[in-house]
Amino acid sequence: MKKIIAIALLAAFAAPGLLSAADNTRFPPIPVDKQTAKQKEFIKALTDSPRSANGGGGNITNPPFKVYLRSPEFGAYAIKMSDYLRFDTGLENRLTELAILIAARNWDNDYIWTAHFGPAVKGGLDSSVAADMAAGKRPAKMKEDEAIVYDLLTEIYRDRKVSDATFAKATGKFGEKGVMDIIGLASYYGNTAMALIVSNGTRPAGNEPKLQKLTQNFPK
Amino acid sequence: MKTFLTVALLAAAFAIPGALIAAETQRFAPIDPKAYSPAQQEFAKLMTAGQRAGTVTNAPFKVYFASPEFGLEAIKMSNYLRWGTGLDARLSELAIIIAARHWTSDYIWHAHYPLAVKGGLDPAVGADIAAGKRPTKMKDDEAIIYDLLTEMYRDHDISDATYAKARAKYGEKGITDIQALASYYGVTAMALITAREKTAPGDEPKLQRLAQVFPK
Repeated sequence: MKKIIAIALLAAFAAPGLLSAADNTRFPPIPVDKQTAKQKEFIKALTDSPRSANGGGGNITNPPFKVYLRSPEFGAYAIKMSDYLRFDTGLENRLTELAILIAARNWDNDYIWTAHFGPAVKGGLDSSVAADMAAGKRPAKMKEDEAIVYDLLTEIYRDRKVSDATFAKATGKFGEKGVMDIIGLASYYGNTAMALIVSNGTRPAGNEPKLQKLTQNFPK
Repeated sequence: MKTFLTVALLAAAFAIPGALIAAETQRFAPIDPKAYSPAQQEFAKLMTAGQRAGTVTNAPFKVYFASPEFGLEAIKMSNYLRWGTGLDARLSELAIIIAARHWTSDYIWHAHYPLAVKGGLDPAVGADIAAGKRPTKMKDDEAIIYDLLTEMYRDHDISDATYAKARAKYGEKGITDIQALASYYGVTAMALITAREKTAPGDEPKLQRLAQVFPK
């Protein structure tokens, strides 16, 4: 058996492209007896966080957490920030998840898109909103508050500028705090996307509409 | 006098609302310290601690300040990423100016270009990045960070060659810290964009407006 594994490993070295395409060489699991005190603390914070009760994530072997684990001091701040942004801002799930999907679209990130499409629809987002975004169209069926989140984030991503009209609507609806929380949430998922990119994080596709590869993710 | 001013302001505001908005409307106006919530007080105190010596009335912190619970975590994260990772200032600041280039954020660029040079980065590296060229005078460790972050931003994919070099030089912890540092400046950029924050340019090379900020 040991011999078979050794041969398999050798084969992997012979075909490194194949192995990395299959994804598992970057940020492999760290055995418990090799974990530092800070890493153990981080894992505990992760498993204690509200995300576990929600049934989503919280598993240290999943990206992006296996990436955060390498720098547990950063990871601890990231998890606290994410817990606040996802579960504690007072924003409805429908809107929180919409902001996350927009961030996923900005980064063309299938992993985040697949993971959050379900929660967004469960939160009450019309699935055609996501389908339109996946196709690179401005969603036709957004509610008013959804359109405000969409305009705020897409103007930031596409124009690097938020128009007076959009800013006025966003602060009118969500207040300055809500605007900061929405930006914070989208940008936190930028960090998630970068950690997924660096670790080649993938997950099986589901029945969500697939992100089309586009030159312009958010139409004018 | 006061009445006169009020009348003048009202007249000006109603007569030329477009002009007033373009020139003057302040987004995320300062909050009277007497009205700070406990979390805002804590945030204001954290801002003055350590190497930061910042203030909640300046961008981007005035934006964070609107959501102090978020802001507290952001500042702690930033303190670690800027000063606690063990990375040279030359390299941390390079990662920050690459993030500034990605976002075309003049504000971050203006604030961090001098820090990068002070840290020992050849000014030609910043000048090339500003012009949208791959810098010609990077040291080996700088080129690794440049490749890691630009592949991330441009390709959304890190090649095996770049990953292997980054891992050999910085380890998995270093890679995580570098991507987190760049990504932290994403929230800074988004807050600055939303607050429409401007900065007076200095003598740093100026970020050119480009369709493709990182060349292939």
